Amino acid sequence: MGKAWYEIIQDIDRRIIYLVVFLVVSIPFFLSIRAPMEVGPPAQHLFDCVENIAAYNKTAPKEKIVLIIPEWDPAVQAECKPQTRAMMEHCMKRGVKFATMSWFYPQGVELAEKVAEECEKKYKKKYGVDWVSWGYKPFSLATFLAFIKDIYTLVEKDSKDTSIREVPLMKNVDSLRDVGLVFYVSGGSGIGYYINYALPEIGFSIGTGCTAILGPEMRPYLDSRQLVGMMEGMAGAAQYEKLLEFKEGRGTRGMGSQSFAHLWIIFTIALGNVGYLVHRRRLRKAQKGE
Amino acid sequence: MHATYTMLVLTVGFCGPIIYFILAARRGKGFYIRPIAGISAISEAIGRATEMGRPVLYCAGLSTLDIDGLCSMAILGQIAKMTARYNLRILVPMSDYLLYPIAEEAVREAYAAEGKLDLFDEKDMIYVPNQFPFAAACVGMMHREKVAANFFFGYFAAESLILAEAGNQIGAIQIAGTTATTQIPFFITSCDYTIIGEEYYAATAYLTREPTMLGSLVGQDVGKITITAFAIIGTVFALLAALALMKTNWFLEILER
Amino acid sequence: MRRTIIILITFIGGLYYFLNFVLPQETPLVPFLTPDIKFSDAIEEIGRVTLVIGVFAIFLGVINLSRLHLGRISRRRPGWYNSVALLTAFAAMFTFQLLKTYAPSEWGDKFQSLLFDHMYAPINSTIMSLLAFYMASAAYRAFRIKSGEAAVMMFIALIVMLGQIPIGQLLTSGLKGAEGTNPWYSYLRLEVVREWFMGVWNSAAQRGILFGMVIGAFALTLRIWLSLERGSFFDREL
Repeated sequence: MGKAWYEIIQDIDRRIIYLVVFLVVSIPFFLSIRAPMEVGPPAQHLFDCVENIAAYNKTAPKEKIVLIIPEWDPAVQAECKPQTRAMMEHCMKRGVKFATMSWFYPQGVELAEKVAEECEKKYKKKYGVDWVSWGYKPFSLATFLAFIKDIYTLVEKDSKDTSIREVPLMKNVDSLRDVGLVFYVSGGSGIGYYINYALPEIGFSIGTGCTAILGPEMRPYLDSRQLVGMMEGMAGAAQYEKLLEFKEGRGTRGMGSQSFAHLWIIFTIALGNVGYLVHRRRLRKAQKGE
Repeated sequence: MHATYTMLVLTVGFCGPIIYFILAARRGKGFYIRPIAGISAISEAIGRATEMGRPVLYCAGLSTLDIDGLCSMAILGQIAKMTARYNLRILVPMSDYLLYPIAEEAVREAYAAEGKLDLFDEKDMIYVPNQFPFAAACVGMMHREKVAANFFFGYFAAESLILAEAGNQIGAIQIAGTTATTQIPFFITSCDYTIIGEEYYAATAYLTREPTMLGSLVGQDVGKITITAFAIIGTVFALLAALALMKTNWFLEILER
Repeated sequence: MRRTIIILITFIGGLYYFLNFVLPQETPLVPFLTPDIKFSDAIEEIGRVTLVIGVFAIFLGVINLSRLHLGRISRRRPGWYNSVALLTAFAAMFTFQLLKTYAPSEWGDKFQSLLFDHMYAPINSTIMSLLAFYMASAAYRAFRIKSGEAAVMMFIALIVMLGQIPIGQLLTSGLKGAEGTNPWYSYLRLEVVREWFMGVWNSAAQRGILFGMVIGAFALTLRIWLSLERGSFFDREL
């Protein structure tokens, strides 16, 4: 005797599910499906923070810079690269200088440098003047505490092996107090070190670009205003790109695939539950009938 | 970073009960820990593996030489003792070079303690650095060795679902414990038992029944009760201040001093 | 004797950071004797030392890896050819990365880009992309409405998933008020409800878990600092 329909839909071969996931993720790339994205408060507040720094720099005697911490590797670049790019483009567009460094992922700073090099061509900016890379430093809490106290303890050369004091941008940076915003991009939770140790000491703003899975974990910090804003996953990057008025940002392009993937997962869950509930109802009826 | 007066009082205040209860436990006072389902199921999982004659896999994830890693090694030691007792192989892939020798030592000592040192095979302890190569290696091991039980205790990131789902595909019984809250949903969907958040720290005390750990656990509970009391009192004061029933929120002012 | 020295070093090391935390920033290293040298000044030097140790620790990982895999190759263990591939890939990446930093050339940069951008990055991304497939199959298999709580969880998951995507936001876009206004029905939009769930309900749960974990970590750190651990990790005295 064959399976009933409600048993079949509860037990779809996982290869079919994988095949449809592959199709719903890949096809939208070629169809350029775009839908308007609503900007949420976390992305808006982050955007406003950079705008405030740009406005402050116009009149202040000493400019503030942004410190971008790209703690990501190629595995999470689908989410973190658009976030990093959006922040770098925002800084370059508004003339806010930035530095980049990483503690946990040596690949992160290299990947971020590549993004920055692409952005500097677009905005005609120059390494050393408009942005600098402090390179990778192996993390330990003692090292990090020393860094908070004096960045020049740790950062003696940039990633191109130039003495850091000779980099034009660094002439105006004496300590972390000259950093207006730390933008921590990561698929991990190392941002806790900045919130717990650096923020009480320095008092700068901290924003984060995180993978969507980390978004819930960051919410308490947003609530307590220890984080000023957040780009949550690729959707967060897409929202930020909307604020920057980009038409073809990487985050925005990916939202088509993400949308259909979500819809497919919702559909399969609904299908499985319909089968389960019908099956359960029929079993109960059969038991009552006995 | 420097403490405010409140932080100083709280820090010393938290230390007090922890040290007091540790000393009390060492003097012989008994403390009750409620059963943790996941930990109680470890023996069930090992029993199942023994019946099937297949090895078990212990994965510490991306843990390094920190709190999560050390707790994981303690649990590994206990599980290795059980597998040694039942003449089972235990496969231990490790991703951290600092923790690898500690894991090797823990398993070797566990087998030696059971008098089964000849069963210990260092080929079963593999070192694969980096997150996704490590995940790929673990999945490969699971499929090749057809493990009957998987234990995931430690810090996990995105590879958690890859590991848990692969284990689910081969029908292994799986028990997971991690402090990484973001990975808990994945373990819950794919594992038979999941230990959440600080239950993971309690698991070490539960397994070893070491007086220091039991006393520390009770001291931690006092700390948690204190924080909860502060949260409730703070909420009441914040509400009164928001409703303009108080001129100033003096509780908040005290805390910020 | 050895144990006592270990306990003393551990305690003094931890004591410095604890005192640095509780004492005011201007506290001199030795009161009345060193007015110009602050207690917290040593942090920078300790930071430099640990940075150097950290770099050596990286070498330790490399040495460990090489030792293990060279041992496998020399003893012709099963799968030894995989160890050859690993060491070859390691040597190639190491060489071309060094060349790129210290002796850049056109062909060197091309090889480095080939290895990093066109091999390492896509392979890493590919394994991560397995998650998308596993997520779909795990969700389909595990999410069944077996109880009232499961039904609530499913409802909230549906709103969170739909509220994140543009297509989902389009479903309730008609509930938007006029520009600059926020009528009551505008709060029923999927993205607004999602933000409420994430910001209020989720935050509360995350905070609760965080408190417990932090207290647990605090207790363990205290035990290690005061050497109250009895080497229980290995069931023997340290």
